[in-house]
Amino acid sequence: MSDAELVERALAGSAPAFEELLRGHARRVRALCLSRLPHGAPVDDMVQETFLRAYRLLATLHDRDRFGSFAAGIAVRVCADWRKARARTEVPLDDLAEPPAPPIVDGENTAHSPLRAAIAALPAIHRDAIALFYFARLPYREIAKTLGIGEAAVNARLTKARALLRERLGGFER
Amino acid sequence: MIGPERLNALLDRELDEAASADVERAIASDAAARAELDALRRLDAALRDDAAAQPFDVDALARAVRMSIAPKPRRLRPVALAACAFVIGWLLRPMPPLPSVQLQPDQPGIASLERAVGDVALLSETTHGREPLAAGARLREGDELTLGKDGRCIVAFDDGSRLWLDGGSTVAIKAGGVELPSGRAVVRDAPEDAALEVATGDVEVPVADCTLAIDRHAMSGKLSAERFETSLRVLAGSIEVRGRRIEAGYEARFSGGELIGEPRRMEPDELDWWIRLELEQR
Repeated sequence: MSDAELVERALAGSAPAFEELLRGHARRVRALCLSRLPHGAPVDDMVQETFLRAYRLLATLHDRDRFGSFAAGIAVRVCADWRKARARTEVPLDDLAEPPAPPIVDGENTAHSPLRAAIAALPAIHRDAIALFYFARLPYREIAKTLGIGEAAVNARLTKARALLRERLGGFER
Repeated sequence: MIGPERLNALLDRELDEAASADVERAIASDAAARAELDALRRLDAALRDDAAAQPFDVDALARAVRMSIAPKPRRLRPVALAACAFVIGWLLRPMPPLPSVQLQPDQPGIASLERAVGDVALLSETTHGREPLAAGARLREGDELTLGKDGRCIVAFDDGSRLWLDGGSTVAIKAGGVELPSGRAVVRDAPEDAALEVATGDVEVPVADCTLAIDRHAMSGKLSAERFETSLRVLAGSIEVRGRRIEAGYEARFSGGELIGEPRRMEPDELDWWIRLELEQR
């Protein structure tokens, strides 16, 4: 069943139809959340929040076949909201007896592997491409639809991301 | 010389058969390109291993979302119920007479402008201009009213129905009803035996013996600027539209003649703009 049909059924009140949409796009949404959130953030909670918002906003999706990019857009906003909320609740340094948690900056990640740290240090557009390709296992065409760009741009972003990773990590040339 | 994008596309299996064969032929005679592709393959393997090491339980996610969206029995708190009852009672109370306005139903027309504040104008079919309207003006079938942002008015039909219009609305007066292509209105006091039909382009709804708030607006989002939807909020009584009965306290939304989702119970804090309208009309 196409996404458009599933969206129509979900709008008519079918929970199984919405669940099928969720299962079809969960890895894509989680990939974006992994890309957009720092290490240690509640990624799965943000994925859940993304689908709950998508459910509430489903009636505003006019092109029913574009649920994937619709959910992806919501995921990016959910992650941005989380980061803003986290930034607002940061306790001033002077109030802390213990050293504070490291501040969140774009791409910040206290990852436990050099590879993840290098991915976290990439610019967001390149991180998104890497996450969607490797974690969501999407082909260029689907990544392009998700990000609203062309397939050539996906190729260019992955090429640049890999070049940056090799530069930062080294050791892949023999 | 093979460009890095072509090598990456080959690695990602995104080249068609002919292009892949071309690149592979070129690599066969280019040691530097072969070394570059090997390095990319090692990085690719490391990235795939890393992605595989990040577990993801889609079943747990589906369960959590299913539980969150499952309909729950709604129990309004007593305070909220009291607030609803107060607001609905207030809306339904008889309107006090407006001594400053002398309606003249004996003149030609089917309705009068009972009250007008701010920019309220008649769109003239003959001059294609805007003629400012004042309270007391008679309205004929075919007349089209347009309200500026600060405009508010009450149209009183001769059969007793009353239409409150909010700023930014446009309405055409028809025999037995109105067309509301955009804007917000509240219809009330329509007698049971003479329903006032409101048509918005998304839905036609006969209103009789109930109070109904209607809001027709463009759907949000850049791609949908030309798509409209109509929200029908039943404040008192009930309406029957497209074979569905919608009771007081519920909102139903329509677009292009179709019901969007299911009617839903309104929250007390949604009773906003028509309360303002009520306050301003007093």
